[in-house]
Amino acid sequence: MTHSSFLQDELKITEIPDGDQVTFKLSGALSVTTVPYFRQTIQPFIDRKQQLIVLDFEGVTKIVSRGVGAAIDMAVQAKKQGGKLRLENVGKYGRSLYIQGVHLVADVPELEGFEP
Amino acid sequence: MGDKSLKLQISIPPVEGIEDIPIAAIEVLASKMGFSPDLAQDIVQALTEACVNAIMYTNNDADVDIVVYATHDSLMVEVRDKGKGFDPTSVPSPDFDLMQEVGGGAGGFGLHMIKSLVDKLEIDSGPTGTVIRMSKYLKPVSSVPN
Repeated sequence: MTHSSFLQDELKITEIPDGDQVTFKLSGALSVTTVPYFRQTIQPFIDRKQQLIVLDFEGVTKIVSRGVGAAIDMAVQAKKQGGKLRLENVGKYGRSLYIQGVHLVADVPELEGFEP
Repeated sequence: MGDKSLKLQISIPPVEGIEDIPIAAIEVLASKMGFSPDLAQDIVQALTEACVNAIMYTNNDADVDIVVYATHDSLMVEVRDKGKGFDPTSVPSPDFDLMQEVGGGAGGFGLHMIKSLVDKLEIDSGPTGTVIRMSKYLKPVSSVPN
């Protein structure tokens, strides 16, 4: 595998703090390339035992299983720290997230009662 | 399209992110064939996973070939790479109980996702490469003759 500067996946993360809750608006690809940045950005909030971490998927253009796996890791860690991870606006990615079992570890309101 | 089948082949170098181009083309094809947006997204997601793996595990400059066979009621997509191959039977199914304890690092999710999103999956893999063959049917799979 090689890299190309103009083909490289990009992910922009906007942080919106609101008391015990912090929302991260994701814009771009949650892919192999961007997962490290995704982890680095969210991890400090898990470490500081943030009560509720919300990932807003509205601007997500691509996901891969490794990216979903990172979100699962975050949800498990947050739970162990007494916090919670919620995924919002998952839209067309709902089925893929369900298949990977994200709803088992995180709040995903759109997947409540979801039938694949 | 009638009964005439269509073959489409796109070769891409193993460059990260380039898979978006053939995937966009196949999404358009699936939509034109009459796949619902949900089913077209299943194809896109399975193909994304297969292409990313093919690109990631290609340890030379050989192209990854994406070959599509479309008929009036089915879409079959092959992703062919010339990487070192793997043993599909050695990939464990995801353990959701373990996942809830240790997180997504438990592994096995990519192949599981592909299996869950397509109607038929075949994998041929050896030391000179891998072919992932994914089929999706326009009709419910139970009504498709063997």
